[in-house]
Amino acid sequence: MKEKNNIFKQIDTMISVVALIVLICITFIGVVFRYVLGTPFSWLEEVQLALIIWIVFCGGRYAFETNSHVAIDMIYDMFPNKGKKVLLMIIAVVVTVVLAFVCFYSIDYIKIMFQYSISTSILSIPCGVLYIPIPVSCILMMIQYWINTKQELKDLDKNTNEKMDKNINKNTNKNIKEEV
Amino acid sequence: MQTYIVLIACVILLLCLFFRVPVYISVFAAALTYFLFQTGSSPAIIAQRIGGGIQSIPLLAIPFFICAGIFMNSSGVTKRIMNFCNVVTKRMTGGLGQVNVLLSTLMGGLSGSNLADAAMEAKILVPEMEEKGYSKEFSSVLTATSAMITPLIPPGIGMILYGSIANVSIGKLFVAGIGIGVLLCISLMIMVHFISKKRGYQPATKEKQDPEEVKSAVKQAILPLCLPILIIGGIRIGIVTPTEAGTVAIVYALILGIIYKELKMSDVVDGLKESVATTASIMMIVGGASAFAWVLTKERIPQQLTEVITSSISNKYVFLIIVILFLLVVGMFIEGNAAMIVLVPLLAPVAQAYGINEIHFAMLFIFVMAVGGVTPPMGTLIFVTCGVTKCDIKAFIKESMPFYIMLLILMLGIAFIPALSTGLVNLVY
Amino acid sequence: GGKEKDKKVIHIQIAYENNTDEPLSKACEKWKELLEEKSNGEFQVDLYPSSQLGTKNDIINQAIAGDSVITLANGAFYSDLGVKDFGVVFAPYLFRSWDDIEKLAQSDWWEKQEQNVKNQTGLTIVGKNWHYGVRNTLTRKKVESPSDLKGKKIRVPSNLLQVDSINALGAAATPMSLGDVYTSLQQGTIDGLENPITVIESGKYQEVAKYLLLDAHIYDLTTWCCGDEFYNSLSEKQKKILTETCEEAGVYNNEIVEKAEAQSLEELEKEGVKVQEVSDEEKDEWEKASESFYKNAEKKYGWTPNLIETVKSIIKE
Ligand code: NA
Ligand code: NA
Repeated sequence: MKEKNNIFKQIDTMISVVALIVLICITFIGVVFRYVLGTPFSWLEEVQLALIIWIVFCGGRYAFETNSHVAIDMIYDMFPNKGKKVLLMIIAVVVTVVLAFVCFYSIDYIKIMFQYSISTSILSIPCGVLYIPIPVSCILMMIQYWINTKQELKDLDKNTNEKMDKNINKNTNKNIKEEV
Repeated sequence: MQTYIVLIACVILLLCLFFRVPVYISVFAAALTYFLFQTGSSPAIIAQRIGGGIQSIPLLAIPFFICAGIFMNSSGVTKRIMNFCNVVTKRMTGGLGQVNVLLSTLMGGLSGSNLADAAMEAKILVPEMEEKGYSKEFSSVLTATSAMITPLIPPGIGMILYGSIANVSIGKLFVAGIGIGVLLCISLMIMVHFISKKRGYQPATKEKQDPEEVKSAVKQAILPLCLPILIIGGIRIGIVTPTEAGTVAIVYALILGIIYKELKMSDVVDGLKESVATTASIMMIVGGASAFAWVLTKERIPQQLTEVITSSISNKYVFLIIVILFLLVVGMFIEGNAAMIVLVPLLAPVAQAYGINEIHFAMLFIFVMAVGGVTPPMGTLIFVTCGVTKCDIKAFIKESMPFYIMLLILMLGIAFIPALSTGLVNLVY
Repeated sequence: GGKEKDKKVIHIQIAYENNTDEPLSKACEKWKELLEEKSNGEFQVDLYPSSQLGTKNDIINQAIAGDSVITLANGAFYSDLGVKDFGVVFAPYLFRSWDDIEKLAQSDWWEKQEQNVKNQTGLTIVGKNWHYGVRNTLTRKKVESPSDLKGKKIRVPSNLLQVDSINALGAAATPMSLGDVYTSLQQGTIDGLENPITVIESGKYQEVAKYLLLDAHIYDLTTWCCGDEFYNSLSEKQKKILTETCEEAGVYNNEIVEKAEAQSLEELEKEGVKVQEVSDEEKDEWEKASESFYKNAEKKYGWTPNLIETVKSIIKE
């Protein structure tokens, strides 16, 4: 189960990493072909713009896993522990709702792109394909956010504030004082 | 018009932002609110606007320079450059802080992307600064604020956009940009000097430079120091575009890592994973911000506000002040270049009617829009820097106060002393 | 008076990439005026210049997704959307004057293409008489003959036909977003670009490239299109107003484009650009040089057999 979970967890990140490697390579090789050989790739821009979508959205969930997504915790910090718990749940619901809508509408958009078989000019890559990572990523980010929230709630229970999260809550002293 | 929906969207944006909803979700939520309640557009367009905001060639500099920064750290390049910088700036108060400012100015010559610059320096410089005793907040604020220099020093997308929209010579704007960029650079260096002195960051040593020490530092750093030369040279000779320069930095860092035998395969994989996470977190905000800017543009909010403002002013100086305030507010919600496309055609003719020099007004406009990157709530530079350094945003904003005052003084200076913008241009042309 | 109140106001957005100082944008202002006036206020029109709502591709996709947006699209674009034959209008040197291509636009062949656009793409063409401009070439080094162009990196929009036609001349077509062109040209990453003179002047490229070749490789006749969903929501009368005003504004556009091109040319010369005229005989030479574009074109671009001959015979009629 755990093993399976791991593969499931890594596959999107790996797609994103591979897309990044390809992006770096074709851009660099593109320079060589244009400057040294004088034969620029006419398809370069198209592929670059396709890859960036894949990099960003396939990496979106992993960014949650590593706490790379920024949030402003100014007001959150002022809440007592109980309030924080409630707020965490509300935020998780907001995140879920927003991602669900974006997921739904991006599927809609992909459908339209396929319906009229719209594709890029030079390589004829279907535009719908470019956007496939968006709905998938939305669902994965949703799941990951709940995992994060669960962890945070646990941490709040344990009352070990310094463990909370690297990018959140530096005000350990204040919180401990409140608890005492 | 569906202005009231946009108003609700703005409220939702602020609520989400301040109640710890991830920034990109907050922006998505604001755009989504509009698409759900408006009539006339298919909500499916939100997917395209988010995707379209990310799909931009100049923005590719962001993943490239993030990745380059990460590889420079793990390949031992950063260590050697920092050692060199420490030796050279030994007699300067706040040496690494000065390096931070100068590096952005240098980066300005090769990249137009302030976000790419901030992400890279947050990655390579901030940890070093913290080690030397600078606070995390100060290091982050300095990195974000100095990244404002990057789009001012040519090449800069903002100046190209402005020039082609308002029909001003881009060459002249580039020259004027150097002036303003250097002005900001010097102001920040003075700032770093005084703050470092007060807080005792890296006090200057009185001891003379030891030639042997310098020599060994140079020797160690000689290959890494070739990188800026390689990149700037590559751009100036026309081998690479500013966007592609990032890949040259990546490849060079990898090669040096192999030469120094400090780069393990696992470092490369970890570095790539980290690049992907950072890129995703930054670009999703960029995509969301672009979707929200689209909403505002489509509903003609900036256009309407401009009309209200310009119709009620009679004096050139009042106009300049109002423009500063107006652009600051706009900059809080819309990313600089998107705002420029909408507002320049509306404001530039008014400025001209008041007899304001076109270069002067352009520089004021570009500078104030750049300030929007470091002001809450939608300061993209804040999010990028804090995303990398994990600095608390509250602490960041508190630490920014003296910098805001400095920026305000600079804005007023640029507004009321036209020579700051036009002086260099008159000298060259 | 009472009737007026029942009227449902229809919002139309006209979106394009050109800046407000270009003739096309001024003609759009005229079109907006006409639309609002002739519809008695039923139409409320907003203009979005300078790609404010996104790139050309973005806006087209928005239109297809059901937004009430009208935008520019040319033959190369429709060809990408699947109406392959329409791409022929971007064949280099096939047309030698506006008359040539306008003759084609009045033909049954064109009518059929428009029908294909309607059937295949989810778009409807509302106007076809707008001159976008004559596409010429601006370079950093002097170009007089096809052999001068050999190996030169020329920026083209990211579409197959323009890439191929520039490559056919022996140059190296370099698709690049317009935002990168100024710097790339300044630093020599690319050697030139092709576009109508008015667009060149608006982008200030003359500051960094000083040779203009008036090769007129394409007479860029552009069309306005909107999404089917929006178009079908209009009444017959409204549809008529839309197409009629588009044509009227188009006539105005063509007048001011011609004037603006002359003015831009003067401006470029004033800024030190060396202008190289291309005579009809020289154009024959250029057409011959682009021979490899035409070789196997029908197969390469999915055209119906003998398309070039068909078009040529329509022009000659
Ligand atoms: Na910096
Ligand atoms: Na720059």
